[in-house]
Amino acid sequence: MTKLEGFAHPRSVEEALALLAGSPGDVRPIAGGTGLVPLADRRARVLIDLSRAGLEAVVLEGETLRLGATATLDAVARTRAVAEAGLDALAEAAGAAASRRLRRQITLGGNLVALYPWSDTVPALLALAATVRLRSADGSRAVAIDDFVARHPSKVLRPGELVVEIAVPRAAPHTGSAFLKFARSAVDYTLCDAAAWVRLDGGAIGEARVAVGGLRPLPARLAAAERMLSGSAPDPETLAAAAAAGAAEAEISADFRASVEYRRELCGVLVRRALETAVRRAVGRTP
Amino acid sequence: MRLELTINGVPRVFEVAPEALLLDVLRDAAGCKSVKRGCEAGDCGACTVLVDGRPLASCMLLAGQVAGRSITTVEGLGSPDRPHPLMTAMVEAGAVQCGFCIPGVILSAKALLDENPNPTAHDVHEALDGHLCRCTGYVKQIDAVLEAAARLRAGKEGAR
Repeated sequence: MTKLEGFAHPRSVEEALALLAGSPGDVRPIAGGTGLVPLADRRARVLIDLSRAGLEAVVLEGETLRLGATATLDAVARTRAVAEAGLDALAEAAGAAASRRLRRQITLGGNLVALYPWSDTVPALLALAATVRLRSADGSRAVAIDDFVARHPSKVLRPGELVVEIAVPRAAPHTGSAFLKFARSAVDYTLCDAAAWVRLDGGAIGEARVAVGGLRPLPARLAAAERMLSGSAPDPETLAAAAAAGAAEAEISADFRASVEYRRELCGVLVRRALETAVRRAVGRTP
Repeated sequence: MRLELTINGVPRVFEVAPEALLLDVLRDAAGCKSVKRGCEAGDCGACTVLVDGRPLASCMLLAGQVAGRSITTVEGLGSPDRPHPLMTAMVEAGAVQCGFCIPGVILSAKALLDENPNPTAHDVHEALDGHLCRCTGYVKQIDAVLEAAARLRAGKEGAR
């Protein structure tokens, strides 16, 4: 039974935070709304529409790409600043989610906070070592993406607190990233997605981050794969072995779309291909 | 809940339930029956409308989210007497079969042509991403958008 009475349309973050701080728990923020609307979740008395709070800018500032929480996935996929920052995995993930029409509505912050198994941008943010900036009326704090995801946004966010920005370090020389997704159709939910980031150090992989999603329960890094890659030569055999290790360690559950076995097979293939592309891009990114 | 919307250029005021979808307000309160109720899950594109010029799924938006915004439906683009070039091209190309998906397709195409008057076939594919046509008339829809784009460009040159 709905108890929704209406909407607030704050024109600034400060106004949005004041509304959140000054209200009991039955006031909640709404970004794109694609997660909330179909659930018919109308437990809130007032929905605070964040779409006019000035949180949509995507700017490259020095070595950091700053993405406003309400930047739409379509904007993230197409904004020049993301390309200039060399963050291929992020642009590819944002451009692969849902359909173009829904990408105009889904926001990066919403995709992250809702944290669905099919939140395609999350593996990319994990691979790219993003930082999540939170603000409340009392102040702001930054949380590393690994922590934000592992502890779950619903546990990290305190009452009255909003995700206002996602910051991602600009791609450094000798680094590369890639994102790949597989689904039953171009607009269906993700069966498996994979994001990879590598830094080459001389002839070897200095550091690698690999994350997968779509597999349930939630997007996650693949630590065993990363350990195998670190210090190894970036040759096809190593990448394939690391991908196989990653697929073996991934937590996977089945649903009506696909079995565990099928998803595990997909996972190995996508991780290997994402690594191959990330390495190729790292080789190409010279100072 | 009082809701102000500009629909096809006309400012309107409605009294709606706070949980009303934009889709329902447009069809039932504003009488824009071109906006089709398809999947109600954002997947099919039949309910697409332009919100401040951007094609969005009206079934995935609470009406309150778009309070004060400008909404365009195909009723605002043209009429049987004065059809928009996209409408004419759709009919001439044989792209309209059962017609259920066409209002949404035309609006996404309109948004594309507003942004890019000279699109490639690939641009059109991308713009019509997520518009399901169960009659599977996809190729003719794409042909129609390209044809309408050419006519609109020629019209602009002719007017110079």
